[in-house]
Amino acid sequence: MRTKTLLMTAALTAAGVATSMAQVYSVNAVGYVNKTVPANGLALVSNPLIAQNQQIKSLFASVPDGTVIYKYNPGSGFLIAEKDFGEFNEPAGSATVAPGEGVFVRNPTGQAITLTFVGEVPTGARQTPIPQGLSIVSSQVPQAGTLTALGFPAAEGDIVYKWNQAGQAYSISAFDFGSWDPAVPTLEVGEAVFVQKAAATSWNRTFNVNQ
Amino acid sequence: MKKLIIALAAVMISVATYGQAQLNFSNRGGGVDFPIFGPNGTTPAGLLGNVTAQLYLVDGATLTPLQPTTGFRTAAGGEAYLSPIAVTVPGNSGTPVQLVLRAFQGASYDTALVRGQTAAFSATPALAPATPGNLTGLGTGRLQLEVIPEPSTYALAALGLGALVLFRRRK
Repeated sequence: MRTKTLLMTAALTAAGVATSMAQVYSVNAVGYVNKTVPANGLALVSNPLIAQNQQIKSLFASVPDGTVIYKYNPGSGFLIAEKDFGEFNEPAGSATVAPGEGVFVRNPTGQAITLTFVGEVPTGARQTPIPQGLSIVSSQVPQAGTLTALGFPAAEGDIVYKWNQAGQAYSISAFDFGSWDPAVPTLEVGEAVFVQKAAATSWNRTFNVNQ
Repeated sequence: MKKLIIALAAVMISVATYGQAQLNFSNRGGGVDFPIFGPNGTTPAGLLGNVTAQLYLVDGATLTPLQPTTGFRTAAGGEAYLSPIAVTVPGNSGTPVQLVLRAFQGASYDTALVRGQTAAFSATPALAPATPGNLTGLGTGRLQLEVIPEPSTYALAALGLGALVLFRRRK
């Protein structure tokens, strides 16, 4: 009996030691990103992280009543979700905003709104389909930089409309004759842009957290 | 009181900014292809140097300049096309307007010795979140700038003509 107990104890200890020695890495990196929507103004934002629930009513749950979310659907135009009496109208409120997409947020109040996106950093091979014509797109990888550095697939005839929050107006860049004019657009983390594409394409990137 | 005035001014500014429609000031793309050339008809206007383009709002005989102005693309092959820029149309909330596009070399259209303008065309500015309206009424075509003779050139021509008349009379 004593021998049996001893053997059991030894086996359990060995298993415990083996478990503690095995190095377990988490492949997921989680974090948060804050974005500001100016008072009485618009912001063109992306959802930079993979949230557990990516519906508008969940991502923008904390915004005050009167806030309007505009999601652009190529071909059919804007889907409008307005928060009133503490909830978003349906079915727009249940529409999703995934990394790579973007929405306009209109703040009707005299105070700036801070949006906090919480979730997992998108890693691995990421693909963002971009349709022909107008669409709102963003970098799936939460990095700031020029569209060139972020791997945007520029093609002749592309037009990028970037929303200038401070001036509450667009700035325009066109890719023509092999270069961006007047300048290659830049993106902040959590920022989206309107893109006019002559032909459908895909914005592909492979990203690891250590990059 | 002072705070109230400042707050009121801030609200006025934000309201003013909130509701102003914009145009995509570009002569290429979105159904528009309207290159601009120099007086010889072949040199792209962007290669002439110091050439500016500006949109003007047409209201009867009155032309109101819109801001900002823009220059030309620098990429090889693109020098007849404008560097695209978003132009705000004050007081407009998305209704069609009549416009004229002017291009000129130097400080202003009025003093330029090389300049040109399009015929009036229509376009519809757009309010955000919609993207700025294209200059659809411009369509396809071309603008060729002209050399405007200096006043001294006219004076010399008049003197020459006068001398010729005098010479003939004496004969």
